[in-house]
Amino acid sequence: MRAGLSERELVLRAKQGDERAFEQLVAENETRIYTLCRRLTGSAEDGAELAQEAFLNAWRGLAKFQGESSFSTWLYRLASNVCIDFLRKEKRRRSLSMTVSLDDEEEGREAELPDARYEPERELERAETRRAIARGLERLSLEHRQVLVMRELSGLSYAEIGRILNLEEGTVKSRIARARAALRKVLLEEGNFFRQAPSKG
Amino acid sequence: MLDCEEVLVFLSLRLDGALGEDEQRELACHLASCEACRALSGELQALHDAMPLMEEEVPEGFRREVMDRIREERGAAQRPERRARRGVWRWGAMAAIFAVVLLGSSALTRLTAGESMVRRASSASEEPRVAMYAETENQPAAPEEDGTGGAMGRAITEERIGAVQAAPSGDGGSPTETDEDAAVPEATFYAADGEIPQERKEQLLENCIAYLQTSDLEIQGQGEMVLVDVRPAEQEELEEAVWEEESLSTPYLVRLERAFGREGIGILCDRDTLNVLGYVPDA
Repeated sequence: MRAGLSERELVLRAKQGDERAFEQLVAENETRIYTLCRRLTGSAEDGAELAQEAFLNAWRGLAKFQGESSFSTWLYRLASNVCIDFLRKEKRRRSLSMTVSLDDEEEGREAELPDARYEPERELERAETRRAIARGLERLSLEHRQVLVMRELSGLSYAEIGRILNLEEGTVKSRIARARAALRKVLLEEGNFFRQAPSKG
Repeated sequence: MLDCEEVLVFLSLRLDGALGEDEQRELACHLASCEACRALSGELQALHDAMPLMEEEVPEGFRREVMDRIREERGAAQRPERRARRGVWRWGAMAAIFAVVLLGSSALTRLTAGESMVRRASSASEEPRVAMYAETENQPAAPEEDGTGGAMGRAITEERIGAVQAAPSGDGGSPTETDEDAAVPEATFYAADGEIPQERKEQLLENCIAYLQTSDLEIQGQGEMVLVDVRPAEQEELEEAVWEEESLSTPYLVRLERAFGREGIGILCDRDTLNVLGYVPDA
């Protein structure tokens, strides 16, 4: 592995066909990219598949990457695109009326397998919280889910989100605010989140 | 004085550390006198605090699989007779097909990793491009299209003019796809910047996708095309184009590419109605 090299150098090498350099780029970005895909799709399996797809697209498209943004931003955009395409197809496949998602089960399984060696109660609580938020996120519109994941999980700045989604920064700010309000509303309705995470005013 | 609507934005900005000092004071002032917004504030904070829990651990073996797939694809590009290993792995199969095309156009020697394959294919003569469509009819991604092979692909290619004439106008796609329309604009962040307004690009994308879906070309009708460029077509391109010359003004050339791989197509759309007029084979 080439841990000492900067992203720029790694990209240069990867462009010349250096697989190990690309592997290092995968290592540096996989968590963020996987989290994005996982949370946008609401499914661990689809998330992994799409994250792989994104990396593959990056590899294939390296020649096109001119360094006008950072590699990680570019990759992030590729991953978003792959997910949007996927979700568009999914939407066609499933009917809109479908509300119960497989993910409830999935998060449920996760909840049963927490790393509970040290603080079992706390872990259980966390698993509950995770499940509640995951379900909440899934009930949001894609627009809202997207900006929340980008901001809260990927830690992108307003400007970066604006570039990726082709939006004015002002629009990004208000959309994030509305997305937060929407998630809160959904979670209040579900009643599972705020019960165990009381407000601190 | 802030109203509660503005408070939401202020609270959100504060969570992101993007609220100025004056605004902080304004916000505090409002919160002191508004119980509903105080509750909102606490709940948004709790959500914000909980969000990092949603970070995901990458599944085991993820990186290895990515790298395996890259090597597999590279291998496939060099040995076109080798089919993709797994059936689910549609895009690997795709790479093998491209390799066939590339061999056909004797471009293989110029092939370098990651370079735009569609450009290679496009620069080739008519024949290999037809072969690409023909091959695709047989690949695992489209199992329902079984083995009628090259002749069928050729016929389809020749029938494209017919497909153009049969293309729906832009008022809502084909009858079976109407539910999907609402989602189409989400793909617009692919769109290149330009003077063409966003809504028109969205409409163009929608029309082109509807057209591709109703055309007989399986390879381009699977809904994962993305809009990468819109500009007025050039004279040279119009001469090459397969289209009904009924447009008064120079049509738009809408460039769509597959989200995966670099395969693409140029579609001509009327500048006023945005309806699909035809396509440019090598655009």
